[in-house]
Amino acid sequence: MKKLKKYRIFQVAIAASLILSIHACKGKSETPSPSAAPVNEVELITTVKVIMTDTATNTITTAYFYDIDGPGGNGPTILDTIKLNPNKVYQTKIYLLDETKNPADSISNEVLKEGADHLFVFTSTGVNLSFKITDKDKNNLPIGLSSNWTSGAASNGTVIVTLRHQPGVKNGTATPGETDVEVAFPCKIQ
Amino acid sequence: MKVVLIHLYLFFSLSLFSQKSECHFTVYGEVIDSTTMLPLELTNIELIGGKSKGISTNSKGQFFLNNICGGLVELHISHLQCEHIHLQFTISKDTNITIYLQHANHVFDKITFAGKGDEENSIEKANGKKLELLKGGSISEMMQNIGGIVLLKTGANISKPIVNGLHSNRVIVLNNGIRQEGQNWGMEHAPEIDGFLATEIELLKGTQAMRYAADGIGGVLMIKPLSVFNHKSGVIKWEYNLVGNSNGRGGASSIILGSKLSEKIPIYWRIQGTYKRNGNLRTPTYFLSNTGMQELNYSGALGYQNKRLKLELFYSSFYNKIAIFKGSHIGNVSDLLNAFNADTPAVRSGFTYGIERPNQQVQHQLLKANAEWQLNSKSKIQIVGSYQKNHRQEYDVLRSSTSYQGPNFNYFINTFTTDMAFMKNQFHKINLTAGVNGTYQSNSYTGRFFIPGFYNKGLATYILLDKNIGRLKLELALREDYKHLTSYLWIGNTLNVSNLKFMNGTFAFQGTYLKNKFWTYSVATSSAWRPPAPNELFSNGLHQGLATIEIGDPALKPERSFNQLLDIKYMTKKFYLETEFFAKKINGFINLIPSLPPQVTIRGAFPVYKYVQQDIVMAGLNLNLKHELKKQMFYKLNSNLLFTQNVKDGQPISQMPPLNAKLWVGKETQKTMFQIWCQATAKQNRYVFGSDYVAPPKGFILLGIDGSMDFKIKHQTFKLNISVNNLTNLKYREYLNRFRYFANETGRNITIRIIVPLQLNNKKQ
Repeated sequence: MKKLKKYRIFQVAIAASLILSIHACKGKSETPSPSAAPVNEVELITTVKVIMTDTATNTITTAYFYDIDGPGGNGPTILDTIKLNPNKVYQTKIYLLDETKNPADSISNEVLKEGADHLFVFTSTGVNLSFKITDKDKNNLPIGLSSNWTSGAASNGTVIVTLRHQPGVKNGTATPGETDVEVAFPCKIQ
Repeated sequence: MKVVLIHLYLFFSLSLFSQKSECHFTVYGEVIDSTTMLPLELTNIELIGGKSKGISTNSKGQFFLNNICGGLVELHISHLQCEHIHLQFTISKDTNITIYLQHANHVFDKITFAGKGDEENSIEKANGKKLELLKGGSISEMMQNIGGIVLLKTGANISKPIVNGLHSNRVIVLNNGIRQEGQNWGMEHAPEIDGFLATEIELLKGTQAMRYAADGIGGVLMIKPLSVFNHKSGVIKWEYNLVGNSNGRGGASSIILGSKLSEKIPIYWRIQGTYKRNGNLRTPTYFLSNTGMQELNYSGALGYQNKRLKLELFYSSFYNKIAIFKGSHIGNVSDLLNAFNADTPAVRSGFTYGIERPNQQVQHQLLKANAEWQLNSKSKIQIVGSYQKNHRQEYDVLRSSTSYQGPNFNYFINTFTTDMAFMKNQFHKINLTAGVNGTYQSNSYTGRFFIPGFYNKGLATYILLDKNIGRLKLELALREDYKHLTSYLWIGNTLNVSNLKFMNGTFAFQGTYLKNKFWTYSVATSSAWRPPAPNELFSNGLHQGLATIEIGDPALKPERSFNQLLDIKYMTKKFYLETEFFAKKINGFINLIPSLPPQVTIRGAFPVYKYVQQDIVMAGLNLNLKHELKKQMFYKLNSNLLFTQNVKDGQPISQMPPLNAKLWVGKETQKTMFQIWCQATAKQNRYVFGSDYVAPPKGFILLGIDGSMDFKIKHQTFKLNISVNNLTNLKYREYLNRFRYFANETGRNITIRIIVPLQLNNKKQ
């Protein structure tokens, strides 16, 4: 009989804890309102800025890629053509910005800070242009925020600026990792 | 006093004497009062068309009917001055029936009834052993032996059902009678349901589906847990499940226990919990980096039942964290093509239980209250209310260690539903169910945009009728739905509010003819409609995993399907064949198709896919066959065939399941079972050329074995079963796995399951 009583108490306890757990599921809700302006704390790369300085004349040429709403939505609003003179050496700097933030967030500083995880890759098609990366990460592998671009004879084509994210797998080649940036700038050497 | 049948459960034991000639079967069992759980004596049971006058149950409520012929059997059950009840079912073996009568109560419930052949082999159901051999897998994996169902996978841990070629927004999943509401639109969003709770999964077609939804164009999948009212007083019934699998080096542990408070207090309770964990999975040649998972679920149910009133409260919580294969994380199209062309993924890995980014975490809670009020012996009112809270978080790979650590995709969807139904039996010889149901849903997000925030309101009314005319059963369902979607789309700093209203009617009609004890024919014609979903209307973004940009169209109209179904069953003592032919026309089918030119983004150019509407036709054939041979040997065959095309240009619809068939050969006795199976999947040759990065993978044949046995150690029963999947460790890729671009399917997996049913009978102590 005593055991029977214990058994009852056990059952009541279970039933009670069940009711409590149902109550517990309420509360702590940070659910935003469906109509609230969206909050996106994840940074975007909205802007690629290529600044090329003619090492002979110190003339500065700048090309922009600008897509304020990121991939999808509206397409890029600015995609400049890179215009260079033949047979010159350009000291080139790449800046990556998140202009959805105020002030604009410099993503290129992060890339520099974690240079051992990142690599810029430059390729050209149809245009006589060669590239040499001048900056190095802590493992003495190239990063690519600074580079020298050497132009050849007059030509038309495309320059593709690619940023590869290679955490833990960087070996100086383009292959490992995934692509964070890939912008194809039209390019004219004239 | 009227005695009415409330529940009828069949426990079919496999006969050791199945070699008998055709008219030597025994139908035996007991009749139990479901309120007191005591045997009911003097219940008259008569075999229609039989020679004898019928028999009465003895003092233990037992009855025996001998020399019964196989095939269709009709019983007439009556108790004193109560209503007379006719039961029709098909037997092919000695059959044990337990009939629960709610004695002395003015109560009835709809009788769902099926013979053994039907229960075990039916095209639209998965239960019993079929489910037992899949325990430990996801709820979707447990559905895969239902005719016409294949899985849409995102890697090995995420899968959702494709029903005759349709999925996501077009397939409704009912969890314990409540429509599951998560971010159902996503192809990588699996149903958030604990598989260990399911005792039966049924694909509803035709009229029964109309009670729950108008928009189940693909079908309505009903996941049924064990009723809390099944528990008896004085006994705590436990069941413990332990599952271990070799691939992933993990498994699951699940416990369920319940009882009735006491004989005098008709309160029933049940609690249940499941924990699941797996580490990195392995293909035949390499580990898949970051493919572990964790799942923790629990649920509780409380019930109260008296003569007229039945109350039930159910709560469940589901949480899982699923690692997403690292090799599938790509930045752009060239990454994807590189991944595809690589023989083994660039990201190498060994074994670990750790879950890193990318991953997804989902928390789903359901609270359900159900009340049934018996007005009289023929009429009943049922009121159901539910609340669901779903929180989905997806975490991408961080670009740098200083990046924001929170979820990149963070969606909240909350849903209230209510349903009120009135049921009347034998209203002018027609059984009637009529009701209204309402839905209120809100969706909001932070992080990456994919679909906007919205409020979704729905109101529906339905009526279901069925009538038996001799051997013919006719069913009709009508339903009218009103839906109102208010969405809040932000473009830059501008808020665009759109209000969309949809109202439409729909119907289903079904006729079933039991020609004789061998043949059953069923025809159904129905229509369903579905308003465009928020992702189809408003999505405008990069689909990370697929490297595509998906663009919605706010001008989309609802789609409407017209379905025809013919189901033919042929049953003898040892042979079961069910063939289901179906044809569908879907007007305004919302389809994602490639659109030029590709869109330039900071990560290169991505192909653009737009939602457009097309009229399409679908036709198919699903087949289930089981043949019992001598010496308890058997073979079984399931096969699904589907053909789809666009009406306008005759082009096939992409992402449709290819022809597949599964054959089992085995031996089954009362306590042991062994089977070897072979599953063949053809290459899908019907797809729109150029709509995909790569052609569909080639066909493959998988082999596997299952074995199970029941044994006793000191009065304690144990059920042990072992399954081996991909026995030959075949390297293959599946068309319907979205990760086919990146990696092979998983290799051989050995699963061991131990089921321990326990009874703590306190009164005897």
